[in-house]
Amino acid sequence: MLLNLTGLLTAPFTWLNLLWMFVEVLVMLVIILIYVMAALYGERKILGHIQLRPGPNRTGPGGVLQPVADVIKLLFKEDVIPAEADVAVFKIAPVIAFVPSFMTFAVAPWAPNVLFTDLNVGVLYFTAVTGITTIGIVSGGWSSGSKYPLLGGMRGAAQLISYELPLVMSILGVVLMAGTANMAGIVEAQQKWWFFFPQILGFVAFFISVSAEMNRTPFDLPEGESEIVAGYHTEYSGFRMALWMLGEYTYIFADGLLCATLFFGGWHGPWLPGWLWLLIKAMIFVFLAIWTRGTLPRMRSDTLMVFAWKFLLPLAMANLIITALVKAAIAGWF
Amino acid sequence: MFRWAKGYAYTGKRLFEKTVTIQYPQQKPKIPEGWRGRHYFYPDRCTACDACARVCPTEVITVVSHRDPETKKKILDDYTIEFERCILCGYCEEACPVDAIKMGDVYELASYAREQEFMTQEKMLPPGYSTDVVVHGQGEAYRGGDYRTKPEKKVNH
Ligand code: SF4
Ligand code: SF4
Repeated sequence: MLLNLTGLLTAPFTWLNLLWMFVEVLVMLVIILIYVMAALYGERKILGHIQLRPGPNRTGPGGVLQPVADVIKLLFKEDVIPAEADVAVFKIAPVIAFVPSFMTFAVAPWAPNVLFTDLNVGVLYFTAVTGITTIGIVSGGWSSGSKYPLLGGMRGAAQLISYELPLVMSILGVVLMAGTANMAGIVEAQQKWWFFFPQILGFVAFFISVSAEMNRTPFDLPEGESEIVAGYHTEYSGFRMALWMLGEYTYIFADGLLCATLFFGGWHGPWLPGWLWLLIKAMIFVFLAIWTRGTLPRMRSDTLMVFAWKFLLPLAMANLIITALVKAAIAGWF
Repeated sequence: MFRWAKGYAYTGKRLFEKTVTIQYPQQKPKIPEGWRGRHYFYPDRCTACDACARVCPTEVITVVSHRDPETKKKILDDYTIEFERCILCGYCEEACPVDAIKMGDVYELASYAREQEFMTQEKMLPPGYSTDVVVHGQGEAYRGGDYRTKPEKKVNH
């Protein structure tokens, strides 16, 4: 179904190959855009039904055209730039936040040999690239020249940096078990069983800190509407706002792929083709994220830090040490 | 420690329950008993006692009547409510000794012009009544519109 994507990177440079790369990136972008539309619609529908209301149901059959209407509305809105804003940074910030979320798809292993880059430090790349989004959030908040975005940006920075640590620590357990940081390698190591079972502690730490990385409830402090208007994107409107949203939803997808790859056996699964299995697993993750949003209230910012440093990090460390000890004790068992 | 699981179970269950939303313009809500919507006026019951007009805190009810020279009884000529200023307090309904003015179940109260909010007997006819019962006697109450032509009302408190 997909082309042999990796071959292109190692193949000698020709203009035709370059063209193919662009085409592939474009295809991926279109897939993500479609996914974002579906996620917007699904989120509103699911949240609606959780709250015993039908959600959008006026635009098109069952309201399926609602995201289209939303996007058209956003694109036609005036692009307002506040007078106090640092214009250059203000303009580039949503791009800085969105692009890394798209870059993470480079290492997503869709099926054996179907991935953009067969990086041998794929997991590291993933977490490193997502870290760039923090810069986007902070600079977006700072450059708006307004107090609420600034607060949101600061909260975002504090939260993302704190939760990056337990996230990486929890991933390390998986890397240790698989013996490789290559995404495809990790999936292959789960041929027999999913890492979810031996790494259950790591999974708990991973799921919580990845929710925090996604800036969604219960960790949506950077954009807590009831406290700081819309946080770091308060001053944004029109297509720049759309970029922020795009980045946010793309991250849910990307983190879903990461979760499926690390803990749920990636492309492994009976009957269906590998890429479909990965997609299904990622979509279950997206559903979980939406369900969480419909269930949990926002955390307080002081408990947020305490939780990250005093609970999650020790948990992830303990998991890492246990994994290392077990692996050393019965080497060759995995 | 597992309160969050309870929360997830609760919202998960709600996900598959029937929604409670009413699709408003197509579906109408059921109005409960005792609802204070726009009035219904029963001209055949009214004894023109003026109790409702006196008790009305916004003074929007006008009762026009005359006395029968023989029986000395009051006869209703006209009855109007300047509904745009009515606060839907329900005092008129409580004051009426013969249940001639009652708060109804009409809740769609918006209109395009002030004049449309002026309630004549015809507009306040209860369901099932024909316009035959409407009384138009000797006097006619203020009909809305220009407030400068509105007759001064005497209210004895
Ligand atoms: S509901 Fe109250 S304000 Fe309205 S007409 Fe009756 S007494 Fe007057
Ligand atoms: S209180 Fe009742 S009977 Fe008396 S004037 Fe008003 S509506 Fe008529």
